[in-house]
Amino acid sequence: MKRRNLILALTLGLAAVLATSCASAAAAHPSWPSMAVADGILYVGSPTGRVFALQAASGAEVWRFPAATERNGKGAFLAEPLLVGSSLNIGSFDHYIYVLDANTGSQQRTMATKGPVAADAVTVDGILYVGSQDKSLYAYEAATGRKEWEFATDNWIWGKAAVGDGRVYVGSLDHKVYCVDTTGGKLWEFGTDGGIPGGVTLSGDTVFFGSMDNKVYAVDAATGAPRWTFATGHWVWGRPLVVESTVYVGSLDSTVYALDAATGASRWRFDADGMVRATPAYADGVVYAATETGSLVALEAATGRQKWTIKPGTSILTSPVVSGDTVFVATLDGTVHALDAATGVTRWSANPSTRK
Amino acid sequence: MWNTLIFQPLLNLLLFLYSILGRNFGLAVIVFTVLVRLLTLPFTQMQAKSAKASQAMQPKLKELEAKYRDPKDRDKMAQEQMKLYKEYGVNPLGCLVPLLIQMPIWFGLYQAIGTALPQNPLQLVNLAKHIYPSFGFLSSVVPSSLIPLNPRFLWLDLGKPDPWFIIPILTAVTMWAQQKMMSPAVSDPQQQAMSQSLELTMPFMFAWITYSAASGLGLYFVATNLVGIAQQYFTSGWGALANVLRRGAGSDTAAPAKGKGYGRKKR
Repeated sequence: MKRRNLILALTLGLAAVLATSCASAAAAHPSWPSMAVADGILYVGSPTGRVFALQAASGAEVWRFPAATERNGKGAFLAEPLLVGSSLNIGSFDHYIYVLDANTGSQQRTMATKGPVAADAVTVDGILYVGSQDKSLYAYEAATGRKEWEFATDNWIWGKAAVGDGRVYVGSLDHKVYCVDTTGGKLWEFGTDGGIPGGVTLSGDTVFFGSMDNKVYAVDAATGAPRWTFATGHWVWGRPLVVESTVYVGSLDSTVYALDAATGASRWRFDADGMVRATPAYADGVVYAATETGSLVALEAATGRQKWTIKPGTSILTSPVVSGDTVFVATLDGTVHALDAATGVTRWSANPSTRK
Repeated sequence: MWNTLIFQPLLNLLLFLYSILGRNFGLAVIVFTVLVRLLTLPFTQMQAKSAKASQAMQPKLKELEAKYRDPKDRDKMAQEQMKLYKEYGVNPLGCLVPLLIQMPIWFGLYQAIGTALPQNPLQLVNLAKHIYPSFGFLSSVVPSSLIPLNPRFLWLDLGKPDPWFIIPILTAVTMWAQQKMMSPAVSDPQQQAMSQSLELTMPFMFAWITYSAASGLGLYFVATNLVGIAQQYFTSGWGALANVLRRGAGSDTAAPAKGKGYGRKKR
């Protein structure tokens, strides 16, 4: 009888643990914070479903969306906020792209997709291009939010598109990068052996991107013909950053690579203390790279030599942004740190999601 | 330690099965469950054997309880009980040890199925930390190239809850049936009430879990219950389930459960 009771208790305990882990998995936020800075304002998209505008100099809150009077947020905001004139565009996991008044945070309109929007938006010539987890790339008229066209791929789109010379480039988790014209007609596609979780970069006549087959690719922007590939030890998720003739890219193999943009030859590599998921940032000859283990390193762009490193949190998956002499970094818990770009010394830290 | 020894091997085994089973995740979950059930078969058999021996000695235990009802005789009763356990070759913790050994594997399975189908970027980061760079002997298949997995199986998107609630219902029904087959014949009304309440609570609880969780996990529950039913049938027949089935068929001749082999034709 006692034994039966013990078995009962163990079985119920197992069920309770399973139920709890289900509930916590459902409640957990699906993303990391996102950031963009413009005109002295730092815009922060939060996994808790709010967007914050903070004074870049002090961290003081300018506005929040939805307003503090509204108890519930929207879906998680993982996409990078994009300022177009006086409007802030940002995709949400609730399937909408929100357009907010950048000065007040009030909602101007929404644009609907059929899936969570994790991809950063890009705008060129009055058209906003953004991918969705419903597998499609959308083009909207930025001024009105009217849908111009939709281009379907075979899997989720999480990465930022690139636009140039009447062509739009986007990667999909279906292992391909697509090039479409500005009416949504396919021009070419380029297949890899892994999903393309991050964005693509257009520089000159070359498109650069990373793949879950562990490689960095450079392909001809006009034809999709391969130019070079560079193999790393794990997935390449962050968007390659091209500055002059060098491609800076992080890999989940815990390394930051600097590659020759023309040939793909390695110029230097830096062994970080954890997976580098985010796109590095660049300013004044310095590359800033964040690691999944919570470090931010400043590296000399020319040599890869470490200038300073700081560990402001347990995990950084958000791409750092630089404005003037300040570098901003957001940790997974939603805390934003403003650091002196030259020394890494903290100027201010704030977690807008927990601030009343 | 947990990740290296249990979770990652199970996760990568699941991915390996997916790669060789036509990139069908539903099939991979089913084969994976059967394989793990086969691996834990010795423990399950130990558990069943111990439970059976324990059932057989129940009347004698009752006799002892009646004989040493006086609280002063408690020590004596404990001694006699230990003798009885020895006589029947039953270790009082005999059916707990196999259960405890299997538990980490169940947790690992549960975690592996949940991790293999990331639904958002943060979950994909988590998967990236645990995926092996290669399957070693099968160098032509790179685990990373399989990601994201195709989540479609029959009417299900295995990364999302079942929109038709068929999986939660199947989970509840198969779990109830398995429990019914395993439940021993009891004459004590209090014990019977507790046993019946457990038989209903657990299926409801697991149905609720699968109602809100990814249907891939529900598929695992259904598969593991079906394997459990088959295993139980070959160990001790239909058990008390035969009574229920007879009643369901409208027979008035339902007999009380008789333990081993009940309801199963002997050859």
